[in-house]
Amino acid sequence: VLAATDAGAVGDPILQPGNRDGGRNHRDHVGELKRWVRLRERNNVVDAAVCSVFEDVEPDDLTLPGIGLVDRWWTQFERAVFVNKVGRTTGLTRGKVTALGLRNLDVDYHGRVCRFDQVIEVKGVDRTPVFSDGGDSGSLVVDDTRTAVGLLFAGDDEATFVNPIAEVLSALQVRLVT
Amino acid sequence: MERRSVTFKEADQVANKLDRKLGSPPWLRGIGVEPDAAEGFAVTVRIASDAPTPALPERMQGVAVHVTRRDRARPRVA
Repeated sequence: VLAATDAGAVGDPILQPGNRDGGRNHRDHVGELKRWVRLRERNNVVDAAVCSVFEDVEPDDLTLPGIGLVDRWWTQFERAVFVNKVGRTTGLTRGKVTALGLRNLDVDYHGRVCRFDQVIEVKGVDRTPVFSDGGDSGSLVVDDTRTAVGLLFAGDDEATFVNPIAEVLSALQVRLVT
Repeated sequence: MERRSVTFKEADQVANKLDRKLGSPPWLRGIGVEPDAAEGFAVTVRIASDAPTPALPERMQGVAVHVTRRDRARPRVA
């Protein structure tokens, strides 16, 4: 999580690890909040933010552990496929796309309900029946060909919800490093 | 007679039609296109756990319409 839901400000410190994982201001300050997508009551497609990373903070590796280097991303997603993600809470998990183009999906942001469209639904499979849990928001979801499918943002007791990657990249005006 | 496989586009059109028909009632939890092993794709209308089952056709334009009960989603924050 980079931006507290619609309560962040440009320049907010980004810590790695995050403060809930023992990260401390100054010592673990790796970047600053750059921009985010404002949530509305309805017609949301993306819940995401992007930060700048300080020049002296070199990423160890661009490989997703257990998955590999992301190769490309979907521009139009109309297939049911197996997917994987690495998240802060549940680590590496495997799932299957169980719904596409979900519209009118209500997400409860601590009492403020925001409605999303174009959502991809994923359910866990194999040894990871729970695909994600709290804290996994922001995980990149990729298929078995290491093609980025979307960005994880929400879930309920049964499934995980993902924003389509093309919409995320467009909304944040960023490109995916492959 | 063997049923023709439904494409994503066909199911998506039905989902759009249902979306317009239903509007935004408080019990609606989302309308999606789901892969269906037997028919290609189907449409699923998700409703709140405690909501009465809405009167919906079993099929629209040859596309199966399922109703499932779901809790409200929450952001996956720590």
